[in-house]
Amino acid sequence: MNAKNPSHSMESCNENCANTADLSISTLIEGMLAENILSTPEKTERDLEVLMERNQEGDGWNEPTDQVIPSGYQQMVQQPVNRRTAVKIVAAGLLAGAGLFQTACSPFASAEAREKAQLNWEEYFKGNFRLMSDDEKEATVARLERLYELNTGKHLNISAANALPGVLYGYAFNISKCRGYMDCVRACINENNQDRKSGMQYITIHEHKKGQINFEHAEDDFYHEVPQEGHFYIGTQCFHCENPPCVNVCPVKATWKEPDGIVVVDYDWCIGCRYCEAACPYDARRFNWADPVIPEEEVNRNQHYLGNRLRKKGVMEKCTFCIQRTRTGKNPACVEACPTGARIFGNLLDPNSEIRHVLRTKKVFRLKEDLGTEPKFWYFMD
Amino acid sequence: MKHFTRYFLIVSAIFGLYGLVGCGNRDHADFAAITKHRSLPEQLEHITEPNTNGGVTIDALVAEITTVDAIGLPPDIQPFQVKDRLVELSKYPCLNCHSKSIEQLKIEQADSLRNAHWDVELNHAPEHVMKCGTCHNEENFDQLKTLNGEPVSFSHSYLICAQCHSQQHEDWMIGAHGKRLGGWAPPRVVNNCTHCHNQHQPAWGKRWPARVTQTVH
Ligand code: SF4
Ligand code: SF4
Repeated sequence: MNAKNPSHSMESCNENCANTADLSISTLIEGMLAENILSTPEKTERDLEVLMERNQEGDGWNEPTDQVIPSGYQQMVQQPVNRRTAVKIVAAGLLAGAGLFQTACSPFASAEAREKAQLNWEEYFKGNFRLMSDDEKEATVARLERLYELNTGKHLNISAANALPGVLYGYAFNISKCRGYMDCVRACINENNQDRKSGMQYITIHEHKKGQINFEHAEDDFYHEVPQEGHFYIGTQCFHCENPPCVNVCPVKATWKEPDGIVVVDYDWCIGCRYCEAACPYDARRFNWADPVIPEEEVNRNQHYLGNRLRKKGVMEKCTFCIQRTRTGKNPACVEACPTGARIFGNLLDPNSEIRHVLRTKKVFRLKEDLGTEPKFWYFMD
Repeated sequence: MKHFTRYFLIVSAIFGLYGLVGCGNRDHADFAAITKHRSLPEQLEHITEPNTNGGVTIDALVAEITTVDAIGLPPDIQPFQVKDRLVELSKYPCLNCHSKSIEQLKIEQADSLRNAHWDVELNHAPEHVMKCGTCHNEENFDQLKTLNGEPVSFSHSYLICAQCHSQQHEDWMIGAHGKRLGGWAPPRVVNNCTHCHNQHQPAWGKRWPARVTQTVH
């Protein structure tokens, strides 16, 4: 495919493999070392600095960055290591990927199987999305689209669009308007390709008895005509905290806050440890205990790498403010679907946006504000 | 004691000086530190410059919607567009029938199985508060009218509602009430009141939720 760095594509393999019937891992590692894929300590340090800098919270929203971004390959081996450790890491990765590799190089496999294996191989060795250059982002979504096409014959449209400059998304929820209709929940499931089998949903509508707001006593699994007498409704989902505890605990930096304030998960980098789920004070994260099941005809084909693209078993997911929609100017699916107008979405950095008007003129509150998580999700009443 | 005071003065002078010099050098860093410890809403209050929203517009998404410019806006409200109501009125122009008096129409329709507005049931306010003629201009049925008798087009029927529901109207103008169409980016297009509320029976009813929740963790 259009891999940028020829040394991590199959080209080197094609040359080498042609005359090596049995794959020798040590030869490969030698080759990689020779072709300077492994990072130097200086480069490693700089890459780490980039990561650390991006982890700093609140230092100016959405300023464009022109930092040099290391390739995914460099990231994989970028721990501050000496050669020997580096070789070990690469060897471990190669062992795991050897199956793919052999198929890709096998002269007996069909062209399609070989292409698939090669794409899988390249996907296997890609880096963390946050550290990819724009070209690498395009390359990985192209690979994912092609893989899906090879597997199902259907076309996907996966975006890798970056955050819009000068935009910080915020959400307001009108408690007096919500009537428990749950059109938002249904729209969210369809939009975001959520697992139908486990009944996963990012949004929870809590039915509260009038006279108290107590989430312990709220009814989350109601099914009767709504609104029920003497009750009111509050929806929760990921609040895209400006100071997100879920991000801090991730041991592999698979989840982070984008420059437009959306907290995302790289489903291909997540190791499924569920630390973030435990750290979230708002029950916002959802885990795939099994491979998600979505009928092929119901798959939403307009996807984003960090949003509603199809997930797999063992990874974390959650609301992304419909990143695939909102970065094009649309509202999240829940906002669009709500018939009561209880849901308001917009750019917090635009003093004329609806959300800023609400923050200015209404009495607003956030949940568990004392934790200092700074949710970008406010509640208000008429 | 005397010594102590002297030492105290010297020490505080040194610290004072250090502080001054230090401030001079760290101005920027200190500001960053302060803003960092402000809450998000406090930080947002200081963001007042106009914003281009990353250059995104939803022109294409609202292109199909017939709109009118909202009128009667106070100067501090940004202009916006309202989805047109007039184009949706299937029986408009009303004068096709209402050129004759209501009494005349009643006589003419006496034999027909149902009258023209069989589906309209007025359940908006007590009878002594509202009747047809409170909102409809009985001199010219192609228009609505204010309580003062000023004519208002169906396209701007929100002005009629605003006479009583002034809080809702204020909220609607800033976007805290009502429904935005297309997306969050400009241009701002919103529903007219009558797109969500049946003006003759404005209360919302009960219904079944769109989905059964099964809490999974
Ligand atoms: S609501 Fe939970 S998952 Fe969402 S950003 Fe905050 S801590 Fe993270
Ligand atoms: S489950 Fe995934 S995203 Fe969450 S903390 Fe673990 S690795 Fe990070």
